[in-house]
Amino acid sequence: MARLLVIDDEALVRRALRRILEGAGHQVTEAADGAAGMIAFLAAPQDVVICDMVMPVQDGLATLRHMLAACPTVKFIAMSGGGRSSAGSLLDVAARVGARVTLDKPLSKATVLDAVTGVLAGTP
Amino acid sequence: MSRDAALGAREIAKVFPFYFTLDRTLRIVAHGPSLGRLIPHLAVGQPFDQVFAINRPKVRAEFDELARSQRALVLLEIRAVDGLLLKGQLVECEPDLLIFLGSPWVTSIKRLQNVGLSFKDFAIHDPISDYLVLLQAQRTSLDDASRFAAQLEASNRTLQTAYTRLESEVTRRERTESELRHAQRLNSLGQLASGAAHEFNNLLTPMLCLTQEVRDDLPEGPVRDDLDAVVEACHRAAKLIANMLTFGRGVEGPRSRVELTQIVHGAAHLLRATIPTTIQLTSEVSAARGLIVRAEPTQLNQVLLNLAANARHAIGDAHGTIAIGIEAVHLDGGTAASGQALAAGPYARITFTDTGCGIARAALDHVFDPFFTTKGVGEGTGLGLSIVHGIVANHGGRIQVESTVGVGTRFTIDLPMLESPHDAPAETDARGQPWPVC
Amino acid sequence: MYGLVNKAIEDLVTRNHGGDAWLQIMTRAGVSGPFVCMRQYPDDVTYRLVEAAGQVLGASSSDVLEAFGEFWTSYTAQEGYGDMLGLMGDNLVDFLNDLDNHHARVGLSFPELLPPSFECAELPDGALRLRYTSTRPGLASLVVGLLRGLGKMFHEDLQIVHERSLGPGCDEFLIHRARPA
Repeated sequence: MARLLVIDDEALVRRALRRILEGAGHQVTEAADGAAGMIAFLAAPQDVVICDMVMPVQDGLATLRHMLAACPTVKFIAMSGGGRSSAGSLLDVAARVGARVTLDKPLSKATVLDAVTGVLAGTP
Repeated sequence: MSRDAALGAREIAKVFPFYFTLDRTLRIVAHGPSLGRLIPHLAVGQPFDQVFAINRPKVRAEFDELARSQRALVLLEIRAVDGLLLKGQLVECEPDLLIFLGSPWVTSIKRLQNVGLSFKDFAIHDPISDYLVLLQAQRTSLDDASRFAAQLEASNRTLQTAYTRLESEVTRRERTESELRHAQRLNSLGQLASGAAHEFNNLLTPMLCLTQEVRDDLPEGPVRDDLDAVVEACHRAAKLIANMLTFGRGVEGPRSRVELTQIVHGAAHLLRATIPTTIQLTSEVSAARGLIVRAEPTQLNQVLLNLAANARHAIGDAHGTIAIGIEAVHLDGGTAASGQALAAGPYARITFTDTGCGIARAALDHVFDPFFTTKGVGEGTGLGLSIVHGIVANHGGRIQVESTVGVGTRFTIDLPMLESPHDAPAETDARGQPWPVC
Repeated sequence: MYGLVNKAIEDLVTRNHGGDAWLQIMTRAGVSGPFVCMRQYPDDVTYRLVEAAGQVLGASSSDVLEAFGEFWTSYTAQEGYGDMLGLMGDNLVDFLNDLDNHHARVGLSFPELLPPSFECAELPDGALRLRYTSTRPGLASLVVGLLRGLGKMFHEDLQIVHERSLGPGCDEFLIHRARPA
C-alpha cells in the first residue's frame, strides 16, 4: 500500500497504470505533464514516481532533476516508448541522473508491478 | 650590219652538256661531256639507233624524217640507261647536220643518283633543279598533311574515349543521385517509423495492461482465453515494432559481440511481416545456439534484409521459398570479400537460399558490382548486393553465390566466429530489463 | 622564315630534351604550333623560340643557334633534302660556293625566301675564308654550327673561327681543315 504518482501525457497510459496499481492496492495520483507532476509531488508525499520521458511543458528528465533537488531519495521510475538505442538514449541518461528503474514501453502488468515492488523494497 | 651571236661547239657544250649532233648517216659526230658521262662507252661515230630509241615523235630513225620534226618535242630513250629519257628538240644547224638540244627528264633525286648524275652535270640554266626542288617541297607538304591528319586522328580518339567516359560518368552520377534520393526516402521512412513506434508503444501499453488487468479478474473460460489472445497479439505487435526500430534507426554503432541466432530471428520476424505470404520463409538454426561474431547488429540486419529484397524480386509473384540457415563451420582458408586471405579457423555460416528465377552465369561475376541490376528504372538501384558485399568485407568475412537459372540462388556468408561461444551474454533487444542505478 | 626552320628547332629540342621541354619553350615564347613546313612565318617567331629555348634549357642563345646550325644539315638530310644535298657538290668548297645559286633557284619557287649569301675562298695554306652575308643580324653562331655540320657531311675535321664582323649580318670566318681537299 503505497502512494504512487503517475506522470504521462497519454491519458490511456495513465488509465492503464491506475487500474493495475489500484488493483494491487496502491493509491494513485495522476499528472499529464512534468510541471503538473512537480506540483503534485510537492503538494503531498509520494512513495514512488512513475514518469514518461517525452512530454510537453516539462519533460521527464527535467522533472527528475527537479525532484531530486527537492528530495534526493526520491524513488523515480522512468519509462519511454522510443526503444533502446546505443548510449545516449533518454532512459540511459535518466538512469545516470538518478532514476532507480527504467522501463521500455509497451508495459505489461507484470513489469509494472515488479518494478514498483522492487523499488519499494529498496532492491534496485 | 648588226652582230649576232653564233655559238661554237665549246659554248654549246657548256650550255647544253647533253647535246649531240647527227650527220646524214645518222651517226653521232659530237656530243656534250655530260652525255658521255651518262652513257657508258658512248663513242663518236656510233650509230644513232644503237644509242637511242625514238619515243616521240613517231617517226623513223631517218635523217630527213628527223629533219622534218624540228617543231616536235623530242623524247629519246637511252638504251644503255634503262628507262631514262632525254627531252629536247632537234635543230638543223647546218645542211645535213642535226643537233639535239635537251637534257635528261628526271622526276626524282633518287633517279638522278641511280644514273650517276648530279646537278653539276646540268647547265646552270637548266630547270631540272628547280623542278626537283618543287617536287621536294610538294613531298614535304604532303608529309605535313599526313602528320596533321594523324594528329587529328589521335585527338579524335582521345576525345572519343573522354566522351565515352563522360557518358558513363553521367550515367553513374544519375544512378548515384537516384540512389541518394532512395536513401533519403528510406531515411525519412526510418524517421517516420521511429516516431510512429513511440506512439505505438504508448498505445500498446493500455491495450496490454488493461487487458491483463481485466483478464486477471476473470475465471477460467472462453472469455479469459479470448483476452489471452489479445495479450498475445499485443506482445507480437510490440516485438514487431521493436524490430522495426532496430532497422529504422539508421545510426550504426560500434561492433560488439553479437549472437547470430538472435539477429537472424529478429530479421526473420520482420521479414515475415513484410514479405507476401506466397513466399514461405524458413529459418534453420539447428545446433546453432551461441554462435558469436563481432559485428554491428544494424549492418547484419541490413545484409539479411537486402538479401531478402533480392530474393523477393527473384521470386516475383510466384510461390517460392526463402530459407535462412546458420551453422558453425571450419574453414581452411580461402579469399575474403576484401580480397585478402581468409585465416583458417571457426566461422559462423549464414546461408540464404531462394527458389527464384536464378542468376545467369554471365551475370554472376557482376552480381556484387555497384549499380549492376536487372531491375528497371525506379524498381531498385542495384546497390543492395554491393552493400551486402561491403558489409561482409568490413566484417572480415566471405560471401559466395551459387545459382541455377530457373531453380534458385544461394548466398553463403562466412563470418569469423569468436572463440568460446559460451562466454558473457551478448547484446539483446530485450524489453523492460531493469537497469541498476549508476 | 619558312615553317621548316621552326619545325627543325622543335625536332632538335624534342629529340634531345623531350616533348615537355618543347611545350615549355613554346609557352614561354608565346608561340603555338603546329608548324606548316612550306608556310612563311614572321622571323620574330624563330627569334623568340631560340631565346625561350635558351632560357628553358639553361643555355645561351648563341649556344642554341650553334647547336641548331649543326642539326640543320643532318635534319635537312633526313627530311628528304639529303638526296639533294648530295647533288649540290661533292666537296666542301664547291658546296659552299654553289649555295648561292641553289638558294636563288629555291627562291624562284619560294619568293619569300630570304637566304643568306656565302662566298668561299681557298687560302694558300689550305684553309678557307668564308664571307657570310644575311639580311638577318646576330646569326653568326648559326653559321658556325652549319659549317660544323657540313664538315661532318664531307668527312672533314674543321676548326672554325669567327674572324670578324663587318657589320650586322655580315661576318667572316676562317675554316682550318685537317685534311684539305
